[in-house]
Amino acid sequence: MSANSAFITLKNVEKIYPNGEKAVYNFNLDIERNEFIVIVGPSGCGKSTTLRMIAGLEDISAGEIYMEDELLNFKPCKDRKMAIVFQSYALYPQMNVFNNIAFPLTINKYPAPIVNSLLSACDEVKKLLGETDWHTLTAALANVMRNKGSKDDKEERIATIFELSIDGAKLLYDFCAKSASDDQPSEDVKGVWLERIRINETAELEKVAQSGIKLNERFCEVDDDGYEKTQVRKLTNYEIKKKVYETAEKLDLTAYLDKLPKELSGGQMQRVALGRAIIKNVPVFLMDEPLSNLDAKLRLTMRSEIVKLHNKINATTIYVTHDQTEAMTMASRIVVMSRGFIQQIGTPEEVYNSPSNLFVARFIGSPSMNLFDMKFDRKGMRLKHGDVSIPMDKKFVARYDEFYKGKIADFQGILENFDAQAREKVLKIMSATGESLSDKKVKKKENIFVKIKEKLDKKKNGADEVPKEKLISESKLEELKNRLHTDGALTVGIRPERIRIEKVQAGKKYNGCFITKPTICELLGGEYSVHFDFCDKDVVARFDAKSLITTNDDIAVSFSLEDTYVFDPITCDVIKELG
Amino acid sequence: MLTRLTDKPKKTLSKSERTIRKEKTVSFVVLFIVTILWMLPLIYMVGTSFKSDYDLQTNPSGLFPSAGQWTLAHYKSFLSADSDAKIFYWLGNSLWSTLLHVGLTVLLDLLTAYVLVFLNFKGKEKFVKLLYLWMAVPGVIGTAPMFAIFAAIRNGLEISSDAGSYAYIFFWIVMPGVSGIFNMLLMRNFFLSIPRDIVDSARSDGASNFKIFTKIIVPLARSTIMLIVLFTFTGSWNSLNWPQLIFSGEAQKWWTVTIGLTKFTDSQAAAAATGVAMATSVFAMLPIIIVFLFTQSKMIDGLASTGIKA
Amino acid sequence: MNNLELMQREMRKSKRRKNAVGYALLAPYVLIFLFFSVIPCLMGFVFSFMQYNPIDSSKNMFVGFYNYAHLFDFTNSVSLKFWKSFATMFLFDIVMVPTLIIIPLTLAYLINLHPPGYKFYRAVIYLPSVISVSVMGIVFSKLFAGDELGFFNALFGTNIKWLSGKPFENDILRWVVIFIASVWWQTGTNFVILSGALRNVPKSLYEACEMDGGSRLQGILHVTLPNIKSSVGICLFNTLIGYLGLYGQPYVLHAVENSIDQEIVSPMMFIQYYLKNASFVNMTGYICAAAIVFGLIVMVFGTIERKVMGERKRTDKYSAAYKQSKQDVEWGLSLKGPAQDIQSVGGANNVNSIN
Repeated sequence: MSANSAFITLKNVEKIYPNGEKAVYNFNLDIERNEFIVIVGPSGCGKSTTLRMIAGLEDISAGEIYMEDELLNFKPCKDRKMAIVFQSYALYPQMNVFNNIAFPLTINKYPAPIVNSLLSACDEVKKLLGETDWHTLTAALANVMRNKGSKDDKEERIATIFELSIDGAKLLYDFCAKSASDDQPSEDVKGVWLERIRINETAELEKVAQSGIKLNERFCEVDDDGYEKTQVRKLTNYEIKKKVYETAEKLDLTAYLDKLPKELSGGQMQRVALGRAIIKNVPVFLMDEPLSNLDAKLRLTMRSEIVKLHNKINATTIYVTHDQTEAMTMASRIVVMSRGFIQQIGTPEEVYNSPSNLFVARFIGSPSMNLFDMKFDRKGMRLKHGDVSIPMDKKFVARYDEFYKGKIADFQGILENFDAQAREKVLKIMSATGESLSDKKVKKKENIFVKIKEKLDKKKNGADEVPKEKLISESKLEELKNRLHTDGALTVGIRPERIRIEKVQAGKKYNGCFITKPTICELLGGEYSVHFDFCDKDVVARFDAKSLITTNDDIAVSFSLEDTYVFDPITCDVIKELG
Repeated sequence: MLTRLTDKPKKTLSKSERTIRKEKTVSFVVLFIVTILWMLPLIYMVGTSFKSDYDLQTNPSGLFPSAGQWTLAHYKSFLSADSDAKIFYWLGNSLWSTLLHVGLTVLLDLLTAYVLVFLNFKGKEKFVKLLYLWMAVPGVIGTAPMFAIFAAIRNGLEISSDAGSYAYIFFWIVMPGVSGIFNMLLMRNFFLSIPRDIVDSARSDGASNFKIFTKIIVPLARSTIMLIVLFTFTGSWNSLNWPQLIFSGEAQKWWTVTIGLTKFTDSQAAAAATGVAMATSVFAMLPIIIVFLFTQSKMIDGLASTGIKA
Repeated sequence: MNNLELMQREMRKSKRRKNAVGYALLAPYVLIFLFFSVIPCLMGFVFSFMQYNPIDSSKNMFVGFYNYAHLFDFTNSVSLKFWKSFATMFLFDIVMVPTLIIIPLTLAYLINLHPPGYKFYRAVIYLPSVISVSVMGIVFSKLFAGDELGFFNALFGTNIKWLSGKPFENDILRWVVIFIASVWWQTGTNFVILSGALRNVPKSLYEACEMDGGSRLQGILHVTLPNIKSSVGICLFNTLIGYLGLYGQPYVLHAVENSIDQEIVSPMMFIQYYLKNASFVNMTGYICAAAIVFGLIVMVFGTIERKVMGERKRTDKYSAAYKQSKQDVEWGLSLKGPAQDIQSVGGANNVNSIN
């Protein structure tokens, strides 16, 4: 399968605001059908902006978005076959739940076959009269007609009871209204009705034949090749009602159809927003932090509800959140973003076990990965911090050298030709390390004089100014070069669950373990989160709560080399992964 | 190829950005024209006040005096010491009566709203309900009888001195409206929005009601106070109906500015003195304009917010 | 006395003290309120049933409904003036009040697009609202003076007699001037309130509407208008009540050849005229009656406005319809009989289905 066959493709998508600020850099992603993509990252990382570009609410400054090989960049929102759920739900406050859900159906036109309503109605009623016992039929009809309600209500009821279309129901209603109000009409009346149907049908068929329209067996207009012609029309009230009831049932909202949004709880409002989205029957769902406004418990239930819904309607979902737990539990693939750059794309398992840089390692996982600094003792082939030392193997040394040689080459390339692309490369590295360009000045109140002065100053200094990124990359290059011959500082990481803790028992020997006392023991229920100091950092590990542990107990801490990660603090890239 | 290091990424406008541009242009054009038209009457007023009498006759359609026809004569006519124009008396009357009215209103509103929100006593809620209901009663029902009461009490008191009369009249200018319901409820609404925790923690620290009132509530209410000050000030300064009733038959020296200016529209003769009329108006408008210029943002934002909360 | 009773006594005492403090501090407001707001209304009610003379109390006497009967006696020239003034004001209001909602709303909509310099426009449009009606009168009576010295006449070389004519007969031009002046003078207030309301409409609602497929116009219909409804209601109420009490504008912009006293074109002017003039002091009771009748009419209008702009009564119709439809489906299935296969949805049903 070629790459272009992905359902949705984002190619080099970028967003630049009118004031020059760039929010999204070079976003590339292929999305297959039925995936549940979660874009996750801290606030301000550009995830919402990306989602809005996909939706069409923001203009795309550069790059393309394709859906089934069709360019979406200039398509207006409503033509993109997408539905969106906002963080604030954005329910229309003056409409009740029914009307909120029905809104997309009421203002849009949908394609439908052109049906000859008279002929199809006649056919339906004929079939009904043939299949149903006359007396049962008339008793039911009499019941409906007797109740109070408008003509439309009664026609809709007839349609629901006898499973007719609204046209068939209208015809049947017409017959009932015109016949004598008799509870037990005789079979003759049936004959009268059938006769009337026959007359109507013949007249209509003649008219159709005269006008040259061709109809198929379902009374839809067809063109010369036998394909049904379609028209774009508004849905009838009955059709809308049926769909809304269906959707409300799916989301358990049938008790709230008359309520206004201000009378609903957060979870209910959220479901209404979902309902408004799924009733559109579109293949793509976009969600912008929909659970952020809910309380913790509700968030848990809604998380699974959303995924269940996604599976039930076979949607393709793109979900934005800042909560890594949501990302891990809901996604089929995760996109981690920071400061406008993609940090990593992968399945939850990949992103958790094989983070590509320090940012992803820190962001994903709760509690977060333990990180501490160690020095690489090349001669001794080990990592040292104080009296703790972790022996490394030759493979690691080789990888270490390879890594830094590669990085040095990268930076040399950047500095050689410091163009806009190079600048962005440096910004990308800084998005992972967390460094910022300058201390941002506090935004002053807009003062025309200050603005003019700034503009004049810029013009003076413009050409001579060396961009800060260049300075940063130069200093980084220096540091990288040093790594090759000195003992560099590295960041070592290990996930809490991979640290082995044993309570020290008198008399047992613990070789290769680090003996210490915990600083805090937090009981979570089934297990403890045990904190202790290690390499001058607070490290967390798990301990089964089957046995008690307190801060007075001595613990023996150990972990194996395979369970650790090693990161380079200069670029924050991963040097060594698991294993 | 060396690109400039400080190159900003090129931006081309997309369709929706273009629509926004178009809208802004249309609204800019419309509003610009509207604003110019809006400013015309006031520009005319100021310009005419500087026109010489000759210019008034020969150049009535000019917004500004023609060359060489600028004059301060109209201003001099009431600013000079020997004129018998009473503009200064009017300004003085308006100024002190308005300030007093505003001050009393604010104090009374602060006090009453505080009592209604932070103190508990029997019948509190019923009283508030009564106030809300009373807001529906149009003020016009009370004008005539209030005037009758005014006249009757005056008759009964048999005030002989001028000073006494003046004091009596201005009592009836300043006091009605101090208990305006809308302003008090505005203040009360604001107090209701203050989190109880602040007051409770002050109480538990041992602060008396008075201390809580002065040190906590009043500073917080600054913006609402400002709002009430602004609107009460303009309302009182500009009021026409009631002062006109009260001042009928009294010496002109006692009038407020707004009443005094109606002289220029009342009679034909006064109306003919266009220059003087304009100059007097400009001068009389100054206090309000000054207040407006300094506070217009706050005024506008405050007014906008009353529409939302209510 | 045991401890429980002592405690209860203490509680009651402290409660009484609290009440006393509350009443004492509330007293200033209550007193002023009673004296200047409540008592005049009550007294007005009383006076309306009397022939009342505030100066010469010997002339007072109780006359029952005489004043009211007099008021509704259309052959009486004074009463006729009252009703004619009512009619004139009412006609003017029908034109004026909607204008003072539509124009500010349009301007508010435009200014919310934030064109360059919008803060300045906002201030300029609002400025006239803070100047007094007498200044407005001076300016506009000169702008629209009937002779060739009037600004408008001089500018366009016309000789239109703007501020002239007899009320109820031929002073339509004067009302045009009053109309223009009122728009200039009072657009600002509603403009500011409505622009605040427009700004308060959440942006995400517009985006939701856009995503649902709504056009610009549909956005205005379904998002903007419903969300500013309460503010429009407030503006409408204030403007309506304000213009029912129309006084200042026709007063300062009166026809030049008439004395003001000849032009009673609104009920407020009627009341004001007869109160001011000492020679009518005997009619105080009658005026009070007129004021009360007028006040009641104003209250009726206010109530109508509140009802119209208020929240619609809500029904249960959708829940009920849903329940009904569920029952109907079951009923329909039962009619087919137990032998029927449940999954056979009538073929006719699918003909019109939309996919």
